Amino acid sequence: MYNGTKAIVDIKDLRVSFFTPAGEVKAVRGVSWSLKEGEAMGIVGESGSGKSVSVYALMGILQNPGKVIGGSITFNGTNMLELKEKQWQKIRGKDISMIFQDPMTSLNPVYTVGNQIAETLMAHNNIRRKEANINAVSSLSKVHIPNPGKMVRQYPFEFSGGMRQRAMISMSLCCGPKLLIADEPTTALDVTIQAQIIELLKELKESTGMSILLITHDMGVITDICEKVIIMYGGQVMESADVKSLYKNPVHPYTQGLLECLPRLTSDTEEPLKPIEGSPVDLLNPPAGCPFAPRCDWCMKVCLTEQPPQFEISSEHYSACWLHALDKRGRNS
Amino acid sequence: MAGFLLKRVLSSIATLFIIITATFFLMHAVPGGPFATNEKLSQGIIKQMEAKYGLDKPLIQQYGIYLGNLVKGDLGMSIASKEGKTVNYIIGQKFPVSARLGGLSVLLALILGVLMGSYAALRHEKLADRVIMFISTLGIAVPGFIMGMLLLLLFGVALRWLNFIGLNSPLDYILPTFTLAFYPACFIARLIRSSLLDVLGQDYIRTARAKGIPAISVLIKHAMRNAILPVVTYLGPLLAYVLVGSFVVERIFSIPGLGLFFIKSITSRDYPLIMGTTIFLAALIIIMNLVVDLVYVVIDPRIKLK
Amino acid sequence: MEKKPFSFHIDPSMFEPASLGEKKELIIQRQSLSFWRDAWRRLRKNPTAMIGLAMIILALLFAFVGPLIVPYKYDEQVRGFENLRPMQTPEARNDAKNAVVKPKNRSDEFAYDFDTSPPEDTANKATVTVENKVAIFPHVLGTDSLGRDNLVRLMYGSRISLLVGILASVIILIIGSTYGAFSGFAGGKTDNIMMRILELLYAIPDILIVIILAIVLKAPLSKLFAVSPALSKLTGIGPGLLSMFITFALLYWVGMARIVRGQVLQLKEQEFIIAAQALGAGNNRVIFKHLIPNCIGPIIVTTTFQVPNAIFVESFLSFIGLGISAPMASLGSLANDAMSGIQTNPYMLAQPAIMIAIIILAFNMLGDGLRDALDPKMKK
Repeated sequence: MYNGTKAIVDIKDLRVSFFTPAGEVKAVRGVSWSLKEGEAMGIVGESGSGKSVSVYALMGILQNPGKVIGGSITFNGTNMLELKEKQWQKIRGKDISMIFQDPMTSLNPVYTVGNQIAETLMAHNNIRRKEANINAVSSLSKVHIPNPGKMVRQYPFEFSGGMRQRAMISMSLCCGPKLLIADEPTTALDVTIQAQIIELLKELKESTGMSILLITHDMGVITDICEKVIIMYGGQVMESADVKSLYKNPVHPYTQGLLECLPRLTSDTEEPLKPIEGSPVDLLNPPAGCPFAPRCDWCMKVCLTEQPPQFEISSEHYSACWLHALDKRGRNS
Repeated sequence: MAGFLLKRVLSSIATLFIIITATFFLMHAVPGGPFATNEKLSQGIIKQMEAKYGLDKPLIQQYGIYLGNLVKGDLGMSIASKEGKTVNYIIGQKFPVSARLGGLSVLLALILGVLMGSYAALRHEKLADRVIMFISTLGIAVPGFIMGMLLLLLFGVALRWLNFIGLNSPLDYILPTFTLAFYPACFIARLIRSSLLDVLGQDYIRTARAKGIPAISVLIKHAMRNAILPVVTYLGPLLAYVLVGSFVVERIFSIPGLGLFFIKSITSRDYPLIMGTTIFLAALIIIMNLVVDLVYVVIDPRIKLK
Repeated sequence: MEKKPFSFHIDPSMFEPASLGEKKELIIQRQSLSFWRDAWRRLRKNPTAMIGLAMIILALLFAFVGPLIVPYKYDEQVRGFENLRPMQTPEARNDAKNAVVKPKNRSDEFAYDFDTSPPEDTANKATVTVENKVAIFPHVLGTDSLGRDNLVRLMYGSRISLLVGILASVIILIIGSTYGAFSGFAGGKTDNIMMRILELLYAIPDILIVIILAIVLKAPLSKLFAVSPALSKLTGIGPGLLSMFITFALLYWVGMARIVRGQVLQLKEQEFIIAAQALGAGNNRVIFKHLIPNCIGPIIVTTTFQVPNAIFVESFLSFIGLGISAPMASLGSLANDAMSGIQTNPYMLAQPAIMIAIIILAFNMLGDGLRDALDPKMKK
């Protein structure tokens, strides 16, 4: 089905719900995608779209009231949902690694950075502390942190924002994972630092050949590093395509809305910004039809009652919208 | 960090000084002196005794002498005691008993509290959590000495399982230690539970799990180290509580310690004794608080640089 | 990603554009309540808090309305009716073996080697009756060694304990919140100095000070009260309680001040204060209309917790003989009196002990519930 390269991650019809005292929050409602080896894919969506949750399910670190209630997750051929906790622990940090949005809160404040890197090394490789400490230093230098020998003995709060994120990245890469998941890695950083981090990720991807899953709500970041992108909303995939196709030809109303929201350098300053009207989906009582329907300018009666299937727009470009049933060539003609 | 330490030491000394001064002037503000109520003594003898104990000198001078003696570690002579014993001697006799009881209670409170609280946090919202929370709410609300009385009634009088007078056998330690430790244990349990729940929800725990660190390590190395901080802060008040609580516990269980002695000495208006004991206890509390602050600095490196 | 076959059962008319109304139906609105109604609703849903509230109301009724029902006075000694167990008649008492509970190892009463003067309280001005009202109203909780009915003494003791607790909390409330609000609002150097003072006060072990003060004030106060017969009624208040109130006014409000200051600092920075000031509101108006109402939540919660704290201190003091003196009784002094008779009549100890426990527990339960109800972050 894919161009000869193996799929390293395959998600089929994933469903994840949180069983809270207030009721069942259906965070992910039938999501399918796959990632090839060495490929970088972006997952774009607003808060509550289910993008982080689906990825946490992939790592097996769903917080307590959350459970995978349907679908399958396959990594490197292994069915992840059948794994026991001990097996998960072997994979996490070693084959799949994850970096998070806020490096300040994601690092333990009472231990040195070196300690936390060495800890990962010792957990997965059979080495002693001395050796792990040395490897920690080289880990830091791989992410271009100056003076790694000194920095390795510093505490997280002694690092600057960008350096902290680099430290996190080095911690996640120290065991050579096949897949790196980055959950909004640049959201908490300044724009200039953002660019540096993305450059770093690109460089590391080239040198190690690992796959990257980049979760973000920022469309701009995607174009820089990703080959493929999926757009999520209300716990479902709205549109998926390779990056060029998506930008040239966004067919889903939500995607179009997202792209139009971005203020453009070349636009007339008199033009008002175009936000998307309406408020996010209530996941306790998700709508029966398309989740974006209430906010969609082209909403039809069928959109409110039936969930649209994924329509194939072109090779590797899919979109879930009833408009495509009207005009198979896509709406943008 | 040295600056921080210095500040703490100085403020401790300042607090102690305030207490000493306040106590001194309060005691001596009461007209009459310790001998005035004793009708057996004639005026002449009273004057003699006052002279002997330096009570006829001007107040400021007495204060000065007292401070001077304090610095030398001399807490003065007990006026009302039969054979003219020094306050130091009396404290030396009675304190070890209280210290033993107090020390055991602190240990019990810490161990029991941390275990209960951690377990409750790990079994959040389940039966074990609710039971432990219920017990600890009771333990916090009900005053320690009430608990002591109820325990005494139950185990000492009704069931007749345990003795409740004095400390003659190791078994005798059970009731008083438990009574003294119960409130702090419950307090610590709640502290640790909420602290641990809070910590377990933190991003760095998520990171640790995402790194594939085994669950035990995550709990002990990552979670506990951060969660224990509020308990360390509580150590100071804990020690103060045990100290003062020992008064009542010693009274209930008739334990011949410093607390009981202090209470009984209240009616005798033996100034040096009351003052000496108060200053001793206050100094103890203040020093303990200082030590606790030091321990906190060791555990949390962020304090060092603030 | 499969493609569904196109020929399925959707009616072509469904592809008409949907109207605005149809879209709006799907948006579920959340009810927004006012803050206080919302808090009260949450409190009502909390069973522990409601039980606590009920217990408090019952205790208040017990303490203040109870003595009106029981025909005995708290200082009324009835000859021939001493040391009765609950519901026991004098005949039954005389017949019963009244086994004295001997502990296993009776250690010698330890000797402390200095003179102690006898306790100063005397049963003065107690009324003595010989006739018994037992036929109308039996001694439900028994009697003490002087033949006084335990039930009415328990009610009285509760009354005193509750009054002391509430009064002390009010003192803490007033001093603490004023200090805290002022310090927080003033900010800058004033705030700094005020906080240093606070820290110093916090370091002083409060119970020790209470004890010292009680000791010190004992003699002069009893002399003072002996001067006039009117004041002698206040003898019961005694040096213990007075020193307790003084210490509370001096030291115990520190916690409240900190909390209020914290709230004020937080609120100061929030936009609506800046907005109000931008609209021209003066400082006073800002404080009263905006800051204080927002602080009230934590203030209420803290005060609710201070009541049992004060009751505890009072009981503690009375238990070691430094609080209330006879003829007045508080729950703590009742417990103290009962200690000596513990082997013959353990019920006398159990009654005030359980009563204290209930009252303090009730306030804590209510306080917990209030804290949960008033914390807006927990809105589901």
